[in-house]
Amino acid sequence: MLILTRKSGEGIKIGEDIRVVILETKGNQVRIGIEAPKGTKVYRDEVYERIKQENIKASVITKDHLHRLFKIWTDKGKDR
Amino acid sequence: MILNTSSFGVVEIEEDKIIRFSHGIPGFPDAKRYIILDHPNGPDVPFKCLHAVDDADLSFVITDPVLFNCDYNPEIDEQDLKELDITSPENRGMIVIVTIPHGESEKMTANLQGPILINLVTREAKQILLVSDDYPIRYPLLQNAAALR
Repeated sequence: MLILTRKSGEGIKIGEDIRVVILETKGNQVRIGIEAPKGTKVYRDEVYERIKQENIKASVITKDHLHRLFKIWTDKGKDR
Repeated sequence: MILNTSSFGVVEIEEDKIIRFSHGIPGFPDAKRYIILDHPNGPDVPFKCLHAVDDADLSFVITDPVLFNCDYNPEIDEQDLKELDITSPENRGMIVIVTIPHGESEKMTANLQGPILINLVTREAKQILLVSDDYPIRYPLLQNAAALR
């Protein structure tokens, strides 16, 4: 991993068209600005991991779940 | 073809209805072929099952997000559309995965941040990650059931 030291207001260029700027540092938090071409995906690191964990949690289903869902759904319908 | 499932027993499916995820979905990279099964109580139930074709134990509850959140209209990245070769809105399908907490079905949530995008013509699909934080990963379905029925 390339490690660079930057101060607030300073930036880093990645390739021709991506620019990362350190906007502000406060305690253990850093605000970062990112300029990248439209279509470049920028995510917080944890987003992919959270989606993956949610998928794993959602993958445990049984017929019983579906029947309970059906019951909830029909009961909701009766309320209207 | 015949599909063996641990939850629904043996199910006959039409091969041309198979949906392909060329990269799998996050957490399950090896399962690349899925089929959508109707709810056991019929096709009108808004919850369906996305079942892996090559894994009898792997399935997800899915739903149409718009039934629960009429405003759900996330901006889809051009790269994702290109990857699936979706050239017009009519070819574009979108479903979301429902998470049902164990023993607390009424607290089920839908993953609006990671919808599944489908090319309805080629049946290629991908779970996409929305860049914006506008839609939560755990959207409570029942408190917000706007247009249910």
